[in-house]
Amino acid sequence: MRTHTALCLLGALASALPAQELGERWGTAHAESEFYRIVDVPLPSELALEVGSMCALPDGRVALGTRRGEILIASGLDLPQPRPQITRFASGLDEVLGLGFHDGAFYATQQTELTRLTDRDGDGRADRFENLCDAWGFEHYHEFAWGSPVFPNGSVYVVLGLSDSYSMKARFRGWAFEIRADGSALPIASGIRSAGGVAWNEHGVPFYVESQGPWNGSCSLKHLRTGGFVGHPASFPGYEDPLARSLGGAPAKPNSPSRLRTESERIPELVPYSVVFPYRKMGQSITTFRIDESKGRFGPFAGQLFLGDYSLSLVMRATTELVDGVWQGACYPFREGFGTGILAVEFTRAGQLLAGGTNRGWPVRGNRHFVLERLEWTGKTPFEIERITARPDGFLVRFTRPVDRAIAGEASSYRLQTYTHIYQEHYGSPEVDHTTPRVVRVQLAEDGRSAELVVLGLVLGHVHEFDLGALRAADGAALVHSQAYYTLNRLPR
Amino acid sequence: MRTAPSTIPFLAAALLLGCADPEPARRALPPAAAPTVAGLERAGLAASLRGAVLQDELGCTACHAEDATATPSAGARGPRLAEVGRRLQPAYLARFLAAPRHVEPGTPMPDLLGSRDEEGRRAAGDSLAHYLRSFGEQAEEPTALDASAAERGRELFHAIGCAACHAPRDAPGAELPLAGSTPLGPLPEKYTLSSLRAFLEAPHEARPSGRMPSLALAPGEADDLARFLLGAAIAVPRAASEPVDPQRVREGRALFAELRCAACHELPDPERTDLAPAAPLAKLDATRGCLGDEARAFARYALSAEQRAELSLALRTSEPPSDASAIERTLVARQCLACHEREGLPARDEARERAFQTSDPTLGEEGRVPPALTQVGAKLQPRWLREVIAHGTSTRPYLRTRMPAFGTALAEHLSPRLERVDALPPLELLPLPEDDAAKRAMLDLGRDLVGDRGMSCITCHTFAGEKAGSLAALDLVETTGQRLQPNWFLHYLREPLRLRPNTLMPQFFPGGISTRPELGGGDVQRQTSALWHYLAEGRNVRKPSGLRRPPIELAVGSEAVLLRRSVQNTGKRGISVGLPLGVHYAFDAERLALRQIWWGRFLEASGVFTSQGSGEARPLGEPRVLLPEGPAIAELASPESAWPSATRRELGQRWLGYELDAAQRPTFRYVCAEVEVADALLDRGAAPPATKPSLQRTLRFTSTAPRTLQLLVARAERIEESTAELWKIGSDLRVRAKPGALRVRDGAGGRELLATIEVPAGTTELVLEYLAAEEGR
Repeated sequence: MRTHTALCLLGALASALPAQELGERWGTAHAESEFYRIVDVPLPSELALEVGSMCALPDGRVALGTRRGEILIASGLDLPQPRPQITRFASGLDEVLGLGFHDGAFYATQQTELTRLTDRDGDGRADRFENLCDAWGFEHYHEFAWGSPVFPNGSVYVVLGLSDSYSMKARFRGWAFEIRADGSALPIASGIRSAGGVAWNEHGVPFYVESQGPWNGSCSLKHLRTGGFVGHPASFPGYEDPLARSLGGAPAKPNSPSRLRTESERIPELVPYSVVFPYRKMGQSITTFRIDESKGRFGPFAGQLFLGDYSLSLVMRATTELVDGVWQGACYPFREGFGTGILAVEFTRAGQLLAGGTNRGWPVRGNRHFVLERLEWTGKTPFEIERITARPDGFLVRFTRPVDRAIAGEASSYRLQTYTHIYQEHYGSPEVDHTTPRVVRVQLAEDGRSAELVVLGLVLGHVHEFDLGALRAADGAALVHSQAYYTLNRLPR
Repeated sequence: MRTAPSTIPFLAAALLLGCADPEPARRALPPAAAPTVAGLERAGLAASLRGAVLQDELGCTACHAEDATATPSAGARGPRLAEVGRRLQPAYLARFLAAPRHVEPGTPMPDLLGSRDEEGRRAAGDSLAHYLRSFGEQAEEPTALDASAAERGRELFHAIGCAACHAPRDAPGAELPLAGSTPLGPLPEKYTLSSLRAFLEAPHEARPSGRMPSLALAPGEADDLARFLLGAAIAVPRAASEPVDPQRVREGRALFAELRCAACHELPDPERTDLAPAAPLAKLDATRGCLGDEARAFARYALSAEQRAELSLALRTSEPPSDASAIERTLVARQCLACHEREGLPARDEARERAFQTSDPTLGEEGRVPPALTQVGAKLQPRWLREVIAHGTSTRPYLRTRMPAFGTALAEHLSPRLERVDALPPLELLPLPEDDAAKRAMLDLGRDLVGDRGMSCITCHTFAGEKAGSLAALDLVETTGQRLQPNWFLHYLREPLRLRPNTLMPQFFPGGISTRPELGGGDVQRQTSALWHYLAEGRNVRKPSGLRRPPIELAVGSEAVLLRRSVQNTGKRGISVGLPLGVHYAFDAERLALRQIWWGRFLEASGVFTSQGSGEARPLGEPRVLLPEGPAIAELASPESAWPSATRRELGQRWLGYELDAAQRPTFRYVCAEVEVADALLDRGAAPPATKPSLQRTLRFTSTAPRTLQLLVARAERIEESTAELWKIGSDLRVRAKPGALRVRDGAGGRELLATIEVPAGTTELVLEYLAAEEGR
């Protein structure tokens, strides 16, 4: 299998040296720019704005949490030419990788604790810093803590990366907590490796972002199911802690090498990946997501998840659905060519997507040390796969524009392959266990905006990779991105 | 795949033998297992390749002439025997020689005593053993066990690559069977501690075949490994062996000649008989002789039907192997494929992934798994390639698996063939200009690209021994010009993933376009050529920008500056506070203690604000005074009870946070023994004759019930009361408090300065002032 990958790559080398290939660049930046423009937000030159988290405020301003421990508040990001006024709300925190705002207070997740910040004298600067929760150990800089915005019930979710990729050397490394407004900490799940963000999905359910590495063949979005185990067993000693005793002890240890589906049948606590982001094709270190709640002001993807990638400086989309009690869904390429490693995204009130981060410490495609960019919809609707959902015998594929019926009516226009990853204690995995399902019947909707596919050879637990490059819109346009990746855990009844 | 003989074929074979043999009663030995050649246990090898390797490894050409074969593994040589009497225990040696295929199932050594009965075998084995012992004998006393050495050996065995070929072992050293493992046989019966140690240190000396390569063990490591592999046996006295008997030696010597042992084994015995040549390979009939089933065949290998078929395939191909086929044969037979992958050959065994470990998990698979050999002949410079194969030279310190040394013969065999077979399409390397200015421009372009304003190669790579970031990928300067072929380097820069699918190296020229269009006109050929020339310059090249991180000094203006980040001597939950008047401190929010105070410049933060942020912030000014680590506040059973060392979480102390005043100065809030503490540390201007500002600390205690708390103000070798209200602590610090507020006592770590706080149901305060010791005060 490993050799298989090598063979493919080298085969390609011999035949087509200058060819574009997935995983290097999508090669779609030019086509994307007609529909979505990347605009640089000018920043004061003395500001080292290493964005680690963002939070849109009810008054339209946007708060930015930084790796250097500041919380900055920017106004004017929505102007046609962004000219932000930036004020410093707080400083001196430790890597602000989570930021929320609720009832007049900020909730900042930093390495050491979840802090509630308030400005009691109204001078625009925080003067009270309350430790809401510091139930976790912090003994190594690489023990990153990511926090969510504030959920409607007043809780913040915090996910705690392991001490390194392989071990829990301090309390509750590799755990996810719900931290209530009163500061009480509820252990939600064990098994985290190295998170890249946490928030709610388009249905209000907590999800987190996981990176490729040990016990994770590829990056993925995972559901934070209460009592769940999300894959990396190094965090099991946490079950001995009085705070986690109510969970009733550690799950069975997964076998290595194996497949996640095989092990999740044996280990009831093990939560399957909801959306796998195939490594390099769809990012290398995916990060925090936000939902497009702009009701169409950001284009035809209302209600979907948008998330960045640190290594490859790009932004992707995802959709999730609950099928037979298990979360699953798909991811889609969206926009590449950002200036730095993306750590956080956020929608402005006007429905524009801010993306920011840094490129220090790890390899990153974007060459700027830090930059805040704004992605705006040009008003033209791209021809894209809008979303894919599962059907009892196949998939429903929706498009942003009507398709050419002659092409889209042909089953052969829909190419699928499936694969999964090795679930193992070692780092990452190639794609393995490939199969080629066949689309046997296509039912086009009246409006030409969706196609119901009957597919032979669906494989549960596999990523189903779609290549719809053959399709055309009714006006002849090609898809901006012809690929999409659906992780099929269950079939709807 | 190659299963051990199950009962049914065993019975069938016994019946067949019984029918064919005129004297069945004399055959006491059951059929032996087929020979195992470790590399052939791998799935997915072509039958012709398997046959060729089998022919090499069984040493067919030791007796049968083959034309113009160029593989040194052809006619693989058996162990040198001059030292074997010193290496192996006498009883084992005799037993093995009498029935090698039964004592070590799977050995490639044939059974040459097939025509003898059990007694005849025993006598022959005995005589041969006496003969071999006549060249040198073991003399070894039992040794004391060393559990920690054996444990180190266990760790080594599973980390440095032994377990890539041999079965892993449990803690006492018993094999955990794993298909495809090269068996080690009954080691405690074979070796003594010193003989196994000597063998491991220089395996080629005893076994010139090179099947067991040298792992370049340090002497201590060989001892550790030998102790692990031999276990408790080294402490048990052995039965005295029979002295070498001259008569048996003579018999053994005759047998040695008769059985043609010298065809495979080297032995310095000038009187040995010369050998008559056996039939050439091309004329052999694969169903007869050594290959056949005949009970009286001269050499019996107990080949399986599959092996026989594969060998006859090899016999039919008489032309010398092509370079490609010689490479394949060698990579299979020398088990290179146990660790490395090469396009077109089977992948590593997934069940052995644990044998590959890294010392730097941040590098991912690249940091753990030995590099692929695909295109290696086009990648490494010939001299370097030979060096790696012959001597195990390695450039990857993070791989725990060691590249073994296979010796110069194998290097001379393999390296030129790889160079001929592997090829990448040529890319043009622009020459380094002769003209001084143009030459400097090209090297500067390379330097700009490597530095932090270019492609920032130094984010991940070491550069001439210096690291800019937290990652430790290959040293750019040490591993480029001396080691790589320029053409491979140019290809790799353009498409790293195609050449090394595991690499973490990003694409800097995706789609053949530079990601740094502003440098060198964005010309890919010029940029990649400049990178080569710059890195190939070697150690003395001008360093790239960003290699040494510039300091990031945090200065304090009219407002306080606070930083929650790992700070020297204070820990990961440290809070450094710089105050406008020039006195600064660090508070530990984990153990709730004021940990240090300093004067002058505030903080240097590059350790936490650059690269991954793995370092710590450093106080800059002087003097710098360290205060005891927490807990700082405790309830003591009696005023003289020892100061507790428990953590604040064990003591139930809680960190609440802080508030800032108008000048951004914090007041810390925490809870100790149900008492809420507000701890404010403010800067206060110098009162002449003092010249340095002081730190005025007001601790406010609020409780619902009366409590008696103690505050540990300082701990030092020397604490003296200089006036009723001023205490001298060491040479640099003075503490002022209300007369009678502080007391001093002797503690475990030195003198302790304590304040006793009687907290009523309500609020009370303690005020302390920390001053720098100054001359004239």
